[in-house]
Amino acid sequence: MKERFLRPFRKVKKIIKNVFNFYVEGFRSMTLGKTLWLIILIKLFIMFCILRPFFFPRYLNEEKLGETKEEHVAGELIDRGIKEKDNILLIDTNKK
Amino acid sequence: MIANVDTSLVDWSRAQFALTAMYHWIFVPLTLGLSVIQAVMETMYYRTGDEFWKKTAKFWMKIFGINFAVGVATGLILEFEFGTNWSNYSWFVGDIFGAPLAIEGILAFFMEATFIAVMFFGWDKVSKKFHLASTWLVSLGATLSAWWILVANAWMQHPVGMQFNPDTVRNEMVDFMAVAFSPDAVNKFFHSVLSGWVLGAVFVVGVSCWFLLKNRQRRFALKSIKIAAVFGIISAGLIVFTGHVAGTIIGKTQPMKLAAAEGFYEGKEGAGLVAVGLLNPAKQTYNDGEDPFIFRIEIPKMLSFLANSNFDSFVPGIADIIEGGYEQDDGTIALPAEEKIERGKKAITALAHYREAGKSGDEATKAAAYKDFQENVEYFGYGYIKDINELVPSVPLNFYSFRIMVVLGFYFVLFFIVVIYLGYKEKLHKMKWMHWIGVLTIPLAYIAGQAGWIVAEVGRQPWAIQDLLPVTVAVSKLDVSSVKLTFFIFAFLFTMMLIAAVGISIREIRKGPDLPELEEGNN
Repeated sequence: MKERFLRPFRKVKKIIKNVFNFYVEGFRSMTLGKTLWLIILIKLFIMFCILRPFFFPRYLNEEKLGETKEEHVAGELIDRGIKEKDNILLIDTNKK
Repeated sequence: MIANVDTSLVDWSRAQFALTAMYHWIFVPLTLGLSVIQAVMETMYYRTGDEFWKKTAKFWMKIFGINFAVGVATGLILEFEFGTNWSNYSWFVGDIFGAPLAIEGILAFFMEATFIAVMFFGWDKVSKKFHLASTWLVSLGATLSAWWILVANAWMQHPVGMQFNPDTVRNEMVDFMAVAFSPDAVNKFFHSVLSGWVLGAVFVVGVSCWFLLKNRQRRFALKSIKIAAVFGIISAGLIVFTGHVAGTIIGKTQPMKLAAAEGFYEGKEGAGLVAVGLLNPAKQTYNDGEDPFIFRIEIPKMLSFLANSNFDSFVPGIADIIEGGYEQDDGTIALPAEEKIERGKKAITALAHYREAGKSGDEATKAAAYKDFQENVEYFGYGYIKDINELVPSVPLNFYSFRIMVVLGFYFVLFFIVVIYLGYKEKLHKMKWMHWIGVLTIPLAYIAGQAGWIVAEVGRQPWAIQDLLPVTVAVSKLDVSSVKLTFFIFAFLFTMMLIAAVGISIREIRKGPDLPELEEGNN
């Protein structure tokens, strides 16, 4: 009974082990691949550990902005588009 | 408050993005092209059982692997830049951009990553059939990645399937199918992927020609050329068709881009396409009276055909698009740019009123402002245009890039025809001049791809999102000095990556495939 219950788990375990061994053997037998992986790791390190934190902070950071993201962007869209006189013109139009 | 954005900030931010995208597009197209060619070669191995095909496929897979490893994740830098340098844009596009990129990341990237492992590690460990399926799935995964990225780009060229929400200040997707399968997206996908396939084919023919020049691996080289040239001529032929469709779509959705790419100022029926021309540098604005060309040779009526598939149709020039008044494809009369600018300003002001009324709880004003906004939102981006000449993208850059792309496109058709003919006549291995042409054609395929993207992206200016958001508003207010610094850091890093990719590739090409060097005549 117990054996019957455990059989599927053993099967899954075997599959996971086979997949793991497949990758381990694959990585071990690499020649050119080792150089390429080194390039990939250096590149990812530069991207995520140097560029991202030091040069690409999230600009729309609510704590730093002191307002919500939508408020900030709405302010940007409105401020960059409206001259004061245009604003007055539209208010006048609305009054009519 | 009037917020000013330093134009040098916009220029440096654009330059930084362009630099990243251009380097990214060095690696991507070769991956797309080689992935199919190597899969075809492995199919030959599967069908014939001939070890020659296995080793041939393995050689090209090695070159694919180098390119993939060096190029992988360069696209992530573009996403960093969206968040930092183009934060207004990132927020404004909302889930329109997020959804395709997320699907790209989850579906296509993992698909590629999984099956690439089987492709490289699985020889002799999995069945031939499963290995072949994995190789094709790598190709499919790479192509699907391109699909979602190009959907996002196509939406910037022609925004559809969304509605702008003035509460969240974001565009919200209302029709996924319209976004994912818009004619712009579908055609852009095929045009871009086909350009990658052409590049892959040119690369394989060029490298194989190098082997012929060196009198090495003749069978390998000739067989590789045969497969790549057939693949190349099919791709190059189809790209001519998708190029025509692109012209038709652009003629309807981005007429200014088409007019700029042609240096076409005064619209007319039966407009000719400039086959060869030299722009007049004295021409500075659309209405300064200067002749746009020093000289030109036109193909009669071809621009009308390109834009509308009709040799006698009307094509608007730059002046027509600015001044309006011509009948558009849908039967409506084009508005003058001045009126679009006024309506854009109304939309921005209505947005301001809507949000102010929302804060003060004035529901009547809010409803009126919402109505105003909806009536004018189509021209939202025009409200930021200070000078009407801003609406005209760089004519020289578009004009010459367009010509480079088209001329090279037709050159590739001719190139593959000649290669196939010489291969069929069994003369190719003797013709040194053709080997040199093959090698020298490799950089031309890269140039054509870059020129195509210049037309697509510079031609869209001043817009980040056509008609809705100009780059001057999309950009984040950062210190220009920090953008300049990151530009030079990227220029250095990407150049190092490129040197590494080229260096390793040359080393592996020199080593050649794992095949015996055959005696001449033993092929």
